Amino acid sequence: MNMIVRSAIVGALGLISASALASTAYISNEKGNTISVVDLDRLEVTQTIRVGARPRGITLNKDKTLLYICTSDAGHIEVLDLASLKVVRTLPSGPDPELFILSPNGRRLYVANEDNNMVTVLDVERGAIETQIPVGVEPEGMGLSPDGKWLVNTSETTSMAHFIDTDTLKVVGSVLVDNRPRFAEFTPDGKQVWVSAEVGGTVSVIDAQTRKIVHKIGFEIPGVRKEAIQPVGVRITADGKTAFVALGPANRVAVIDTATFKVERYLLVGQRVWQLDFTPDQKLLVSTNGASNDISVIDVEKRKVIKSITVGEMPWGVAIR
Amino acid sequence: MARVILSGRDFLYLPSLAGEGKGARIGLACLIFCAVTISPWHGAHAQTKAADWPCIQVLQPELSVGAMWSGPDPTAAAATWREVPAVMELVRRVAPRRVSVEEASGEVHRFLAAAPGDRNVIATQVFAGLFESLNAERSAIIRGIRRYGARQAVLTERIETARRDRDALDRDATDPKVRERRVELEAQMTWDTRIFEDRERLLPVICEQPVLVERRLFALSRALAEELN
Repeated sequence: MNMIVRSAIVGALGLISASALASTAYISNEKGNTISVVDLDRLEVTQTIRVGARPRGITLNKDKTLLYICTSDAGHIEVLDLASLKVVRTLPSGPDPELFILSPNGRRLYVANEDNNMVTVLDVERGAIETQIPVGVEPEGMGLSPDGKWLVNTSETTSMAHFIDTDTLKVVGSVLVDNRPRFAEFTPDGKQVWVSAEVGGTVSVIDAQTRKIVHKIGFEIPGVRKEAIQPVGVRITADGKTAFVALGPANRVAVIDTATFKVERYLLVGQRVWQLDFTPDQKLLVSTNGASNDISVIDVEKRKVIKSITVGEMPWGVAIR
Repeated sequence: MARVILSGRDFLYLPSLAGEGKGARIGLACLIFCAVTISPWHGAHAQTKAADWPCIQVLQPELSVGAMWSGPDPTAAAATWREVPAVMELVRRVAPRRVSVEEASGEVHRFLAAAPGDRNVIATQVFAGLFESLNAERSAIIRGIRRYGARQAVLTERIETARRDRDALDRDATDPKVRERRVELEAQMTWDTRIFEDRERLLPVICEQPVLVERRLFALSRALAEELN
């Protein structure tokens, strides 16, 4: 009897720890107007939720109970409650919200408005716009320093990375990068910002303090035409040692040693790979592959694609809890 | 939201693509080349449109081997895959679009599971065969789309010429020949406009074909890669 009770307890504990470890990925499907919920333990889609038109950028709130969704054509941000999987609130965003980032204290969302060349600063709790900051043409990428002090926005047409002081909410400097910058990512120590340029085909590494480009990373993949290499999403591991860059229609994710800036591997994922995110334990990285309607799950340590999972139509953004 | 971007001299707008109602007229201004973007899907975002390419999708004339395949180098296999009858037969069976991707992938898996010899070598040969066949098919479709676009451009010029000729006629003329000519030109414009609009309605489906071939090749390449040792 004791044995049975003991095994039952051990079994139950096992289940609890397994579920505590299991991560869930949320994927925005730009054309399907849905969010796919993916169990990263079972590696399968468990739910599909219909949301507003053209969901693109998505991010979790601070305690990871809500998902904020840029529903670009609906012209607002939808808030999905992750317990009920229902949209419980909408927030104003300015026109055509594409990508946004949450302040470390969870109180503000900085939203890139592609159509009106503004960054909208949103007070999440009040659901009110604090201010709008004029930036370059077609703003998109949004990176925030780990301390929340510096916001870097990229403008696609102007080809610039704009440094915004989040205390004064003013642009204090702009750095010219290569054509069509799409994404900005700070290193975990806050010393560098990595900015990808989709048409330029490069990643500019900018010193956050001097605002000078210290290195430019180029990509060469045997058997891939140069113009197909279009860097978009960038993620850097929490230890700051490895960067992953999604290369669009090259269908590859580059693995880069951040100390040497050398590309160590090009992982073949799915078609038109744009955005990336890590699981909280950093063991897995998920890429959204817009043209093959799937995501790829990458083992970070082994640098290997474990599985590709079909999601909705034109997957765009990814957030994992 | 659908956006229609017109470059300086371009002026016809496409009712079927721009999402306007049936009643929307081509109007009397006509397009030479019109860049229409509905969204940045297919990476349209990233590149400049080719002048004679009528689709919203970015024109990529050729596919890249490296964007489809990370297995063994297929350069040698590209020259030899036709010499292996079983590989050639498989490629002939699974390449055509009438066979669903699921069915074709299943056949690829079964073929490799039963294949004698080095599985990596055979998979690479099949990849080389599929790449060559589907890339050629895609290129042929692209040439066809360009011809289609060129015919539409000719038609728009014809409509524009007829409009100019009609406008040059005296609206109040009593000469029966002039009146007859006006009726004739208007009938021609109506007819040409109808043909133009009918063709434009088909354009999104036609433009999707190269994308479907590319997607098919990627899916089959992935099925092959799953069988690599």
